[in-house]
Amino acid sequence: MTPTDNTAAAPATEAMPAPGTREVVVRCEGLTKEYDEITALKALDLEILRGHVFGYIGHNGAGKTTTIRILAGLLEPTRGRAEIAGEDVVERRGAIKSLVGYMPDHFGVYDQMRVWEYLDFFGAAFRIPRRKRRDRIDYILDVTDAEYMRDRFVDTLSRGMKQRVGIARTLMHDPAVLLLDEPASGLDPQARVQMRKLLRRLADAGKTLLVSSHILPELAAVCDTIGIIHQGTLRASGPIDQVLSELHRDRLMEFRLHEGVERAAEVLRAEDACSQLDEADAVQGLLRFRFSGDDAAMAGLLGRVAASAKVVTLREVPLSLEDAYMAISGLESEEEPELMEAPDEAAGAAKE
Amino acid sequence: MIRNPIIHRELLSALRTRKAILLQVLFLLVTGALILLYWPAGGIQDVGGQEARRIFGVLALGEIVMVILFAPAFTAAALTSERERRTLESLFATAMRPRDIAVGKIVGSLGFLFLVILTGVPGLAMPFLLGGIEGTQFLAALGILLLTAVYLGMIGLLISAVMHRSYRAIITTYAILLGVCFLVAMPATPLSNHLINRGGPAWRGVLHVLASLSPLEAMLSAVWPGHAWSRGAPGWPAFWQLHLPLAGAVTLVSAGVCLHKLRRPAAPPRPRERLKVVERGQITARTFLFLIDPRKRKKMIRWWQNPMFIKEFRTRPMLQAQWLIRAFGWCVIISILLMIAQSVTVQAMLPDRPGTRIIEEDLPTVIAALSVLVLLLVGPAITGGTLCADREAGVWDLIRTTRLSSVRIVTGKFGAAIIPLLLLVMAILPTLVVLPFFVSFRVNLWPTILAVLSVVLMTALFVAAAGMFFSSLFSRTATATAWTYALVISLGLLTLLMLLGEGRFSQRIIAGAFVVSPLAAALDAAGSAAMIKYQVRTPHLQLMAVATVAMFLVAVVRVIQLRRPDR
Repeated sequence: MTPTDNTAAAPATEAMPAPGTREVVVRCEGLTKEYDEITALKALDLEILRGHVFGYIGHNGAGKTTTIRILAGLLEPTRGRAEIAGEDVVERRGAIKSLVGYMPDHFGVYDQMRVWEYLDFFGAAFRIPRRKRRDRIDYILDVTDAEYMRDRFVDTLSRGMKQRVGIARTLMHDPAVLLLDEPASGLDPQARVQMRKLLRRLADAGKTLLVSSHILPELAAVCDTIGIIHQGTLRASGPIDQVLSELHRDRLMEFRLHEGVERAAEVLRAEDACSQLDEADAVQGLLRFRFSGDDAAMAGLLGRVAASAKVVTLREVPLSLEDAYMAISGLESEEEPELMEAPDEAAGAAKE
Repeated sequence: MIRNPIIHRELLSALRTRKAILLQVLFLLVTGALILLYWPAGGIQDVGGQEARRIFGVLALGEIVMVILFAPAFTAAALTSERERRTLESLFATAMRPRDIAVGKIVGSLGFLFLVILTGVPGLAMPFLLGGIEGTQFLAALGILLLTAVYLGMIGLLISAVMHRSYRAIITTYAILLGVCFLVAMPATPLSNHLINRGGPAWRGVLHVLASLSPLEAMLSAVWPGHAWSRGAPGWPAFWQLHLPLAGAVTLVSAGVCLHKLRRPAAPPRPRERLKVVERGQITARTFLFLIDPRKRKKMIRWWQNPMFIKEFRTRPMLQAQWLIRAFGWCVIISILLMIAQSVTVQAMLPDRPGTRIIEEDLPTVIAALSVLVLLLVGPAITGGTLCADREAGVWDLIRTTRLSSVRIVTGKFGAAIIPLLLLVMAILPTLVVLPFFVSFRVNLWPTILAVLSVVLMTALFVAAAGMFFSSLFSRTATATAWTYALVISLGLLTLLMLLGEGRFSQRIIAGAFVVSPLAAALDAAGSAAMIKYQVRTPHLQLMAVATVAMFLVAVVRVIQLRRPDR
């Protein structure tokens, strides 16, 4: 059985364009959320395409959960607009409920309830007819590899199992968009791999996923696009490669030398296009540096270094998502107090 | 002890809550109201000190009832809440000894209650101005108040050490305390009036000791030694004299068991994974033992069923079919036992009173009182967490994202709250149904039965609505349950304290207080001689109907608010 041939899927899926089209499913424009003295979200602009897995990255308190709760219709934005499949999340809350499957960062547990009863309750709460509900439960337990948990009590499950049941619950009414808040949080490595496979499977089945996390390798492996939010502001978004190249216009290069490390370092220091020379592993013949020039300049530099030292290799160090994240949050850690600033003060600081 | 960090933390966190201010204000308001009501208005000096003793007694009793109601709220969840937050293990990982933890918990939890009692001291001392009160009497009353806080608080802490969930611990503690404080005091009057003579001096001694366990009885005997409720069995020391060592012993034993429990690592809740599903139609031993096997596979929710209603019955322990049937069974047994007890009492009383009057008045009175008491004592436990349990379990956000309407949520929750209460009432019906057989003698009891039923049904609706109301206001089941108990017990039982003011207040004022009491209305409906003169049934029904509708509407509005996006 595929998601598209499941009858319970009809309400949400029929309204959506076919997978593969570049249809924007989730759109935020100037989305802002202010609490008394804290601005949790500052004029967020965001677009997620249908069938994409969007990784939402940020440290605790960055604004991830706020965004997700607004999109799920649980939190009212102070300003701005958010749409899911063209439906405004504030004005069309009824429609949003059919379109969105929301999984919070904590798993709501009912005592004394078995997994299938838990899914049956939420299915009935979404007004899915009984027969379709039965099929739907079978299908989503199969999709989420949770069939063996069917008769187990929800509150006795391990965290990884609960997370899978949580995702199964979000699939009950076959929503077009899944909003998953930290689904991999607290999972052991094996459960994380399973979770990653499950998310990929859902995306392949045509679901649009917004997955928040700070476990970056997990997101890098599963996401089509990412957004990095810091202190309520989206600092970067797009395909992972694009974000990385935007964040690091200067390439990170590494020389491996057999002899003449000090002379090579002298050459690099003298180059205008080189910066941030890292000599920490110089004893082992390794020199790392940022290079802002083009390939021709790189060839010239290689020649000058080779003239003064014995070069074994020169390579470009691939950037990870973690590097990108650190580039935004780590380097700007001095701005941390801004999070607690009053809105007008923050606005003043931004103008300056 | 002063350096115990738990005491500091418990006291500070208790003092920082709104609950602390509310309780303090409530305590002082009730004390002030009692003084205002009972203080002599005339200019005639009461040389004998009768009036002063009367006011002093009312104040002391009022304060001890408040201590009885508040003490469990502070300690019953002291350890379970630590378990729920998973902070108890962290406490044990520190250098603190289990004894320090237990002492810290009890002193920290009761410290605030002590403060509240001490702020009431000036009020309690006011009757001194009228003369006639001895210092020792005052100190005895204050001592009983403080001892009661420790005594009941320790019982609460013991329950908290044994159980895993806060709301269960609070319900159990209240159930035990209601037994310890009110039920054991019941034989006091028959003892005083020498009505129970059949058992001989040994039996009277047992009942006297039992009654001495009640702090209410102890206070009564300390402040009004000559009262019919205070005399007890002849030849035995006064209730308060026995109460002090008994309460002390119970406190010490509770503390010992509590320490023992704390020293051992807490056993995890019984694994329920053993409860494998039993397919429908399959017969097991449990089928006969439980009548309804809790493991039996449930049916899927039908289109005409309210999912919230079904979910409540499946998830809330007090609403599980096997427990409801057990509760039903207990009510039937109690009901039958009461019938037997009543018949024994009737025989004992026959020489003094005509049989017709006993059938007309005493039987319906006992049954009416039992029905209402069951609702008052069990009702809040069932209804207190109606709405906030979902918020507490972290499921409310998930429900908000579904297509369940506010009306379906509220009606589902209300249905799940009211049905078990009605089941409990039905369990007492056999005794009520037996009554018409007496019609064959010469008494027509149908109007009485219908009148009692109307009050009982209204009480069930009121308790369910009160539970909904408080659970819509608070986010924690334990808090909502405690407030529901406080309201229901205050209206049902505390108002009966006005009986102490008979002669002092006009009939109108007393009727005004009784009109909010389901117990008074039920006794009136049953034709009780003590109540029938106040004629409170009809206004009570009207008032309770309005209050029930108002609380229900507030709950609906709150659910609508809670379903909206947060601001």
